[in-house]
Amino acid sequence: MAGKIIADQIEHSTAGSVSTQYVIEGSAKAWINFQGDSTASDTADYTRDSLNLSVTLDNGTGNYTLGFTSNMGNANYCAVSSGHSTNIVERNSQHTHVVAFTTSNFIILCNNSSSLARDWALSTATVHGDLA
Amino acid sequence: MQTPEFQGTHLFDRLCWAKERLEPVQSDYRVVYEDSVDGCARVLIPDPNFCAAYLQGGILPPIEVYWALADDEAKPDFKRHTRGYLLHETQPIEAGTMEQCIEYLIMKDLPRHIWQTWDSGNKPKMVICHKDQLPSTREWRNAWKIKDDLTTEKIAA
Repeated sequence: MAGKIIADQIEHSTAGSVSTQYVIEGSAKAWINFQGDSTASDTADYTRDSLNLSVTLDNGTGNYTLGFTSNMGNANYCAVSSGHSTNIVERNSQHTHVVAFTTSNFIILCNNSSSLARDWALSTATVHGDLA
Repeated sequence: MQTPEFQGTHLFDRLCWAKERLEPVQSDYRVVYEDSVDGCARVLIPDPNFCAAYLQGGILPPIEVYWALADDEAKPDFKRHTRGYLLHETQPIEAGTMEQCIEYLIMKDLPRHIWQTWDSGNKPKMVICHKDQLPSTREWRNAWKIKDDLTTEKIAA
């Protein structure tokens, strides 16, 4: 690929140096921002933006599987999800989980304060770990 | 835009190349499928950056690579992938149409028993449709099912 730089370290003029391995290991390997409450009549895009994902599987209310394009190397990666619904009251204590990790996908569950499944208007997730 | 010769380049690097240069392609296609009798219908939504990479060609690996990795992970003693190089060193697939992209995603991301036997029951387990054919509200999302009166003949027609 054109413009390739091969380096084991990056050095700042005053702040010191860091191994490029830190940059590679610490970068997000996948992320997404999508509209979990999208409907057929919605003209907005379902997936607003993403990296390294092939599909969102809408499994039901507040339940989404995200599939990787470049698989993770093992199932011990770190996935974090966040976002909110359009319901202002429920925003106070709503929560989300990430479950069922495999090297090819994982699941996001979105709930309201009573732990009932809810579709969120803003659903996001990011993944750190080792790629296959 | 010409895709560089990517065989041997890490797939993640190819995806970064594609994201930087290709416009995302939002597909109107959806794939509705039922994974169990008791569960509600599920819906596959294609990722716009993935669709752009597929339509561009020369970026994504053949579908068989994903099957090989899935087979490895299904083994009881699996800990980590040892054949990840298949993603990066296999000759990438050429450009295809959006319809071929949807077929690829079905075979990549849906359980095999769904797409291999989609037409073997009383009604289809899987239907490819347009977004505007889905219910207009998600109020009863967990009750969505593929219509009982839908037959494979109707779909083929």
